[in-house]
Amino acid sequence: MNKLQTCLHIMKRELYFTYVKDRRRGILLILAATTYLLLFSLLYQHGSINEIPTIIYDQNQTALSRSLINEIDSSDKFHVSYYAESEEDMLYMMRSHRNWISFQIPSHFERDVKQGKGSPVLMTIDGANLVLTSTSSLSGIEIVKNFSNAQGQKVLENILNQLPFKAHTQIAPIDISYYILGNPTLNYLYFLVLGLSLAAFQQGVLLSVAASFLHKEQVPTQEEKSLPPLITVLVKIFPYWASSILSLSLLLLLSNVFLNIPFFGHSYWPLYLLIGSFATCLCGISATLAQIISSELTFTRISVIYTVPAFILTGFTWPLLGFTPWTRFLAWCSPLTYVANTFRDYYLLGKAPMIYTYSMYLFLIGVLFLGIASLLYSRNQKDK
Amino acid sequence: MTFLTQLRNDVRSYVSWKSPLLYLLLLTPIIYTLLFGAIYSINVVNQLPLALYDADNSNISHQIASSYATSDKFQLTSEVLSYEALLEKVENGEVVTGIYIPPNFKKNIRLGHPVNIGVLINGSNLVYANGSLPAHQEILTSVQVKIAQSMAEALNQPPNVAMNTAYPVRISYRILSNPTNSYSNFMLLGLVVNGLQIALFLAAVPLLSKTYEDPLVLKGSHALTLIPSRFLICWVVSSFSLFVCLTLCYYIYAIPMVGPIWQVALLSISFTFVFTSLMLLFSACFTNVIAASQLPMVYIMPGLLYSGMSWPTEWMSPMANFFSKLMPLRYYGLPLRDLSLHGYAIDYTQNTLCMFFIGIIFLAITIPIYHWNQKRLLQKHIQEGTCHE
Repeated sequence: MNKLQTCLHIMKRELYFTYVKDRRRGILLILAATTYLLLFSLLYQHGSINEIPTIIYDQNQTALSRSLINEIDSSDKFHVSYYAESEEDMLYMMRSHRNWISFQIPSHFERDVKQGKGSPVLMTIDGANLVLTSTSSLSGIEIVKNFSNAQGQKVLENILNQLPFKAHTQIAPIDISYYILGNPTLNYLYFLVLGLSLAAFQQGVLLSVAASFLHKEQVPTQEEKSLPPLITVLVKIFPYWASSILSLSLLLLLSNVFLNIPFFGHSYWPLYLLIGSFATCLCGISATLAQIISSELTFTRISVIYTVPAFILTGFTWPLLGFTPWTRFLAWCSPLTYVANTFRDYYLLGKAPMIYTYSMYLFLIGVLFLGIASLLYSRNQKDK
Repeated sequence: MTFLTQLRNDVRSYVSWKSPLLYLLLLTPIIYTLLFGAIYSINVVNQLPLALYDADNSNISHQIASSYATSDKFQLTSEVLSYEALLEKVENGEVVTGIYIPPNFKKNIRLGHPVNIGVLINGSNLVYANGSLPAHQEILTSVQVKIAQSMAEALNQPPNVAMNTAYPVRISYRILSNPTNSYSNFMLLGLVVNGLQIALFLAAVPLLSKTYEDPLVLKGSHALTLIPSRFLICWVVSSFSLFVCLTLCYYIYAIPMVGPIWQVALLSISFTFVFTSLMLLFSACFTNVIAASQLPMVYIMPGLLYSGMSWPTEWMSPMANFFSKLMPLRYYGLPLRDLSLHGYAIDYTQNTLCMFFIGIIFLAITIPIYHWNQKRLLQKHIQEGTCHE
């Protein structure tokens, strides 16, 4: 058998083990990322938090206070669920329910507003869940501010005899336009799902490549031993690398076509380049560690323990700006850090200036580790 | 073999530094605690890089720039000379947010014409958006109110009246239990417990499935002694590990623990009870140790994110809520955080009892399953000649 035929035979054996004999490997490799995509798109299906149950404690009970309550209730964000009769009642209801918020309107609200004394409205939020805190505070501020502007405009019109247009401009001289790039609706599905899928993708590649070297039934054949170690390692790994590209294709298809996560990149090729390099890096690292660890059970344990820290260290949720220097250093030691945010930025913003640089880093690290893996593989074969 | 003999043997085997069980159950959660506590130690992301395009260059626009420059939330890192340059900086990630003050800003305000300030935010990471939006609103609202106040004063209103004309209804908000919006208080406990879950998965799942591979162990063991013995070891060690981690969270990372310690302890013990029993159930069902060890892959992230600790359960779809109810962390994580921050948890009693009760059911199911697999595999070993009758 010539060398090319030997290589093809080795690849065929890898495919047999991956998709027939040890099917878990194939399932992890191809489906891990898309499973996570579907699982978490189910979780974040609604995308944003609306209709937050709201308690109203209206000490004023006037037309003006009712007008404010109407503004609150008619917004998407809040749903008036209870009218409290006292502050104790209001706080009791907040304590008895998770994720409720409240608005308290003081007793001289209408009088103070009409007399030009100004009046506060107190919003109380349970701070345990920051997703709820940020959503409700943003919307509460907006609603009350708009209501305030409307009342200020009426004062100018009625007391100072200003024309409506002029009064509006004097009360709200500055219009603020917010442009939230990449995720204008602050949708948690767009924010999280891609990174979570990549974390699963990483595990799929790491575990399946390691299994190729460590699975107890997959002992090296004479053909594998006949080739130079570097070629053997490359040939063994290639089917996994190719399968990971297939996994990426499935991920992109599902996210763009079925889940409608908007893609703003000019082409998918930069993503393929990034993930292809990432897969190369993962194959190299996995092959190297497999030569050192030599037990599939131990490798699996280490890999599983690594999953959550790898994801958190990417800065995908809590950004790297919020890391201390040494944790930031640790973050940059993890390959997923170079990929997760870059992938999301390119996908949602259409721009990721470091995409080609990071692809090159990952590819070079992958090549380095593949070299180390082949040296260790050769040493292990000699020992055996 | 009696239960005490089995327990003694298991303690010698598993509660030793040579055994991976101790490393997994003790070290993994502690490492998670220390690592994630360190990551979130800054607690609130401030000094967000900001770029400014001031096309007006007036004293009003300088006031706005000065408000941003002196704010804790933002760090004015660059001033650009065009809107395109501003947009590029935000899109490229050089800055998180950008402010655009148009030309003739001051002139239009003085003339009573509407003016517009543009705020660009990189929305790919919602922590940036959620962190910067309220700060933008606060800064620009105070600028707006000052300008509106001065316009009202120009109409002969006294300053304090002008202020109240400009801003008649003010919002104050109080955030209960986590007033500083600390990310550690929000997420750290969940991540720590998730670490314990992973450790229990990896440590406990091979405990029974490994016995299936050894015909001698299989022959010499009895479900009624083996399972309680291994359950007890895992439960005690994991509970101890959890207490150590919660103590580290409290003393090192200042995670509050307002609620009674005995409630936290009982809740924690009930969680380790149900999770250990669940892991032994999986272990009894899986005859392949590697397959059993890879099972956490499906659970790691869903176990945390479906628990309701980040995305609230009230806003999950019915199917997602159904899956959420299958996650043990839902019954522990939410009351734990409530005890930590509020001092009480509305579903404490029901969740604690539920976890103990379900744990007992899991154990009860594990015994016959293990017994059935034991008989089946022993028969197989006898037929293969790897074991005598």
